[in-house]
Amino acid sequence: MTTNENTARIVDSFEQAKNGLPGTWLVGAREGAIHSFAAAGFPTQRVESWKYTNLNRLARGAFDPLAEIAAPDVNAWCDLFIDGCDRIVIVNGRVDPVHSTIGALADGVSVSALSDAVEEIDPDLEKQLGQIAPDEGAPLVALNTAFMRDGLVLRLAPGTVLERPVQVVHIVDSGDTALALHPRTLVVAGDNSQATVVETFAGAEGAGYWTNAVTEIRVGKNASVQHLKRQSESVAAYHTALTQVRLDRDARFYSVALTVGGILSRNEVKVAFEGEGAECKLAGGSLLRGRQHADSTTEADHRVPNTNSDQVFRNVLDDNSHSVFQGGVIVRKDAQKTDSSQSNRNLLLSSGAQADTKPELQIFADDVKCAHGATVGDLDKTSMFYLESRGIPPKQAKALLIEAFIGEILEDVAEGSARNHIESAIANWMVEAK
Amino acid sequence: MSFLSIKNLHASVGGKEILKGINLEVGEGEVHAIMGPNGSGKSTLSYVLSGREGYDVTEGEIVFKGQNVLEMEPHERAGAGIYLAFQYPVEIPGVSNLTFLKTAVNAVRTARGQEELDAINFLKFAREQGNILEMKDELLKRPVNVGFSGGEKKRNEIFQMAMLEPSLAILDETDSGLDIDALRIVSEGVNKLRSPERSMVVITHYQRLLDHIVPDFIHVLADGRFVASGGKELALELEKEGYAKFGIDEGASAAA
Ligand SMILES: Nc1ncnc2c1ncn2[C@@H]1O[C@H](COP(=O)(O)OP(=O)(O)O)[C@@H](O)[C@H]1O
Ligand SMILES: [Mg+2]
Repeated sequence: MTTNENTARIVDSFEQAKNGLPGTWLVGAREGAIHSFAAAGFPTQRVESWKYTNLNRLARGAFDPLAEIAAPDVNAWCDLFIDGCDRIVIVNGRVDPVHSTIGALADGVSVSALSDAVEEIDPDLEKQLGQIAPDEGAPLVALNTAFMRDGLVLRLAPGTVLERPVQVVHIVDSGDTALALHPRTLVVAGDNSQATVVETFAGAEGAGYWTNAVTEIRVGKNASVQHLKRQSESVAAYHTALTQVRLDRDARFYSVALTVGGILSRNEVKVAFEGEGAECKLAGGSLLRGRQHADSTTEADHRVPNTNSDQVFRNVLDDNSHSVFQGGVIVRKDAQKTDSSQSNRNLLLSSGAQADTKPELQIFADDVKCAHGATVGDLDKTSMFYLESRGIPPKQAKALLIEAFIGEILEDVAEGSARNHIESAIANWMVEAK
Repeated sequence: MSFLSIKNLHASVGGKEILKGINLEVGEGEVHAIMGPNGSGKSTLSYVLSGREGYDVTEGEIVFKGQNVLEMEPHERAGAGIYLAFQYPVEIPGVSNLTFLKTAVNAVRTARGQEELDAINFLKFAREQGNILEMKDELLKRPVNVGFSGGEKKRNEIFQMAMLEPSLAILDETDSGLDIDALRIVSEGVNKLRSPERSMVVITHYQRLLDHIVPDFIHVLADGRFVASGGKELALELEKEGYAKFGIDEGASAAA
């Protein structure tokens, strides 16, 4: 199948699917979205922001957005569930009510599955969904809008504090069916509210499927949101994801996204500063081996004065794996006193691995601080010798150095079960390290 | 059987011969000092003993407790009881001193057929040894050597030595960069670790360290060879008359 034929196939399957998708009020938006996807097609490497990531195989892949696959034994996935938190579990694209658990929540806090939320009459949701991450100019977001079925909707009224993290766990275990999954998560944190949200993606070993996720986050005045993401998809899966964030005055957003799964993955995080005094920290990276390709693309869009952004990305690459970091910073004309920094470091464990790193700074204001730095290197021989001279065998010495290197992305994450969840993905990767 | 025996050792770095025929016999429990001007090859000898990559032995042998050291990997040498206190301790960001030490202690214990220490016993042992060296608790939690002062780094080297319980300790200029107080703490720590089962090779540029750690033998190294060996009185001669007495032009050697 050519890319064009496949795009036509996807549009056809939308026609079949549309009446079965949740939320009748969304039909118009879905139809508009499928048209804009059909017109644009999959992004190609001619588009600057996709320069290093080739979607040809994905664009020709016959992934099925319709199939409803009976839930597998979800108990086998329980080690992905973070202790003591509220959780939505989505299996093969559909919410699993048995394993989703929502405890008592403070007044003003609501947690629900997207498929439930959109069946209610809810003018607020209509106003929010799709407004933070618009379809325009983003064919994969449009495709997600057309097919979105499940995900998490978290809303916090002004002044509310989420006591426990909320986790959304996406599990794919669909046998021989190559599913296309289009999960959508929406977080609306009212003024002065606080929340931690964790997104976890996992799939059966060796399963081939495609996750195309969109996460929209709005952080109100003086509110604070921490967003952790663990991408442990099957190493045969495709994963494309956009997290788009809007920050109001004095809002704070801290994110960590770790990629260990997927044969090809793209994790894009875009933050728009819409109020003075807001700040964000975007951290992330990957642990890769085999022929894995992982693309981290960011955009910190400083639109108003006095805002800060800090980006910290670390990649560890073995075998013939490939990482991409495109670190975007935009400082608009009015955004005086912007303070932005960016660091990308890449650790190559094999001569066949490759790291591409590209800072993209567009600065239109003059009174700003914008620092950036990138390195690509192998394990430090002096450090290795120091550890070995203390009796530590080379494999263990290497593991200590790798864990320290990737651990920098967790610098600002407090001890606790959510942090442990990310650390255990690192530990799992290390088990198979050479 | 001698404890450590180095015979006709030649070693090169980057194709350049640095050690040009070293002979040294160290008996069990003995403390030997090696003195010599900058660039004479003292650190090179310490690295060759501990197995650093890039330090190529072209001739000669090193036998420690009956084992051919040159065939062993660095971590195997540590397991066998060889410990090097680095002249320039290495900073390891992101690895806490305690994690590092626990990994190291249990690795050498395993290599020596001893049981691993559990978290509680390890901490108890670390606190005991840390107190002797006046290591602040905070230094144990911080990443290895990161943000340590020069003196704290050197103390950390001796602290690690205490934890790893080597039978041969090589101290490479542990005195350099220490003020009088730090020198006293470090030397007292080292002296506490002296025992009939533990030999030491103390490398120093100055004789002041040897006032605190009194050696059994002293060797003077110049341009990759020992040019004099004797008892502790050799250090006094060196102090009075300098390296020139041994035909060493310190300025020229340091520049080499
Ligand atoms: N890594 C290296 N590469 C090249 N030359 C080196 C290296 N290390 C040491 N040397 C050279 O070897 C000689 C001995 O150095 P070193 O053993 O450090 O002396 P010392 O410790 O006695 O001051 C010096 O001439 C030094 O320049
Ligand atoms: Mg030296």
